[in-house]
Amino acid sequence: MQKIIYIFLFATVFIINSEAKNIAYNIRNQIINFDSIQKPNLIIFYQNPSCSSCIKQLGRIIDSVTNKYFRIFVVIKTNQSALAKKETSIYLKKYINFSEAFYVIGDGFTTKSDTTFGKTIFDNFNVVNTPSILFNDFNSDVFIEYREMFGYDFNDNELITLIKKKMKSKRQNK
Amino acid sequence: MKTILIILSYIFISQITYSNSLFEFEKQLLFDSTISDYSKIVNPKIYGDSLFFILDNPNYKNDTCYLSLLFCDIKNFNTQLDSFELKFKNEKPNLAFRDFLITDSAIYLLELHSILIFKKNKSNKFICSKIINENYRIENISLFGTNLFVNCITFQKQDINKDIKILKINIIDFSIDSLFLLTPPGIEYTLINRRNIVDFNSKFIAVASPTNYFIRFYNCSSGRLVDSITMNDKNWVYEKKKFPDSIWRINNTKFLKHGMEEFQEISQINKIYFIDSANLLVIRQEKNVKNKPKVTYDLWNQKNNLWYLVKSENYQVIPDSSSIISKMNINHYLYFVSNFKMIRIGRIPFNIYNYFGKEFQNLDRDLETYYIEHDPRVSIFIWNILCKR
Repeated sequence: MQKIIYIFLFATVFIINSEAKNIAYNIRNQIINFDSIQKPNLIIFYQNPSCSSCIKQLGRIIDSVTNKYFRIFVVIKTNQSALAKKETSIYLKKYINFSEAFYVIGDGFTTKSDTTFGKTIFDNFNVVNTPSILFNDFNSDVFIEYREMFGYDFNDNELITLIKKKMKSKRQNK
Repeated sequence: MKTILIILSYIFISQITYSNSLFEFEKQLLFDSTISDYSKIVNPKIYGDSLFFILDNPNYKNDTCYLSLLFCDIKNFNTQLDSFELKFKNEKPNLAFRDFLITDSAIYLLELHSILIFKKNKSNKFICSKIINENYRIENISLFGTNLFVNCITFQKQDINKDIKILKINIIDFSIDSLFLLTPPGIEYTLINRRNIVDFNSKFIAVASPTNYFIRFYNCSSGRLVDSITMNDKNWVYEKKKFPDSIWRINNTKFLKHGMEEFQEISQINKIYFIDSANLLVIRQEKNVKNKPKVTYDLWNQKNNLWYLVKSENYQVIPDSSSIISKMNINHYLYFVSNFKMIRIGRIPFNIYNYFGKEFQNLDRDLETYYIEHDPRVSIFIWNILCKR
C-alpha cells in the first residue's frame, strides 16, 4: 500500500513538474495554477526590494488599462512565513486594489524561486525586477517587464499609452 | 587636539566574565491590530511613564498634513493609545517622518527635509509655530539646554567631507549654527538601511563609521575633534572592495546592488546611542554566517577622559528553532534606545511570558497558524539597560 502511495506522489509531482509552469501558492501553501484561473486577468509581480514609487504609479493607472471584467491578482515572491506574506499583501493593498494575493517562495536578492512543485509563474516569465505585469485575456498573454514600464520616468499618461500599445500590438500579431 | 585611542583586542574582551547582563527584561506591550505595520513606527521614546511614537502614516487634506503622536502609559501596561494631533501646512506630495522630541512646552518633529516646531497653547494643543527647511537628509534630534542638535546627512559630489552637517538651533530665537564633521568610511551604507551613526550628549557628538569599528567624538560647541575609539576585532570582516565614490556619489542607486551583496558579508555598526554623558552603546552586526545573523551590543564607559569597553554581548537575531526562549533572546530586530531603556519592536501577537522556557519552534508554529488567519499585531518589548550612572 505504501509503495502505491509513493508511486502516486511521485507521479503527481512529475506531472506537475512537466506540465504546470504558471503556478504560485496561496497563503496556506496550496498550489494555484494560473492557466486554470478565470480570464481576463491582470497579474502584478512583486518582490522585496522593489521600487515603491513604481507600485504607487501602477496602482494609480490600473483602472485606465483594465475594464470591469478584469480580475487583478498579485504574485509576491517572499519567504515562507505567513507573516511575511500577510505583511507584503497588506502593503500592496494600500496602493493596488487587487482581488487576491498569491505567493512564490524566494527572495528579491536571488532570481530563482522554490520550484519544488514545478516552475513558478515568476520563473516562467523570467521576472527579475518588479513590479512587472502580465495581462491574460482570452486570446493572448502580454507580459510587460519592469524596465519597459519604469526605466524611462514615464508620467502616468505615458505609461498608460505604453501599456495599451503593447496590448494592442500583441493582439494584432496574433 | 587631544586624541585618545584605545585599542582593545576582541579576544581579551571576550575573555572577561561579567556577572550581570547588559539588559534586564522589563515588559511587553501587546497592541491591538490598529497598529499592524511595525515599519511605520518612528523612533519610539520613553518620557516619564509613557511610551511615545509616531506612526508615519499621515493624512493629507488639501494643503494640510495631519499626523498623530501616539502615547500610552507603560507603567500600568496600558496599551490603550492616546494622541496629540499635529497639524501643519504642507505642499510636498510625500513626507517621511524621521524623529521627534518632546518637552513640557513643545514638540520638535523631524521630516526628511524639514524641522517642524509645535508649541503648546493655553488649551494644551500643540500648534505649528515654525518650519525650518533643510536640503540635507535629516536623521535625528537631541536637546541640550536651549540648543537643539539635529544631525543631517547628504552625499556631496565634490566636497566629500561635508556629508555630515549638525544644525545647532537655538529654541528661543531659532538662530542656526552649522557644523560639518568628517565623513566616516562607509557612509554609503546608510543608503541600505536606516542607521543611527551620529548621536549626541551634553558634551560630545559621536560619529561612527558603518564599516569600521571607529567612532570619532567632537566637541558639541566648537565641532572640534576631541577623541576617538576603535576596536581591533580580529573577527571584523571588512568590505572586499570599496565601491568608487566617483560613481555612487553621482548616482546613489548604482551603489545599491553592491551594497546589498556586501550587507550580508561584512561587519557593520548599525547604531550608536549615548545612554547618558558617560555611557555609549554600540550596536553592530557580524558577517551573516550560514544564514544566522548576529547582533552585538557593546557598552563603552568614559572615566577620567578614557573610554573603556565594559560589556559586550552578542545574540543570534534568529535563534535556532530548538533554542529555549528566554527574556534575553526574544527579538533582536528593530531596536531603539531611550531614557536608559532598550526598546525593540516585534510582531509577536501573544503574551511572551507563556513561551519562556519553551523551544522557539513552539512560538514559530503558533505564529504561522495565527498569521494565516489574522492581520499583523505589534508588540513593543522594553529592557532596562544596566550601566553605571
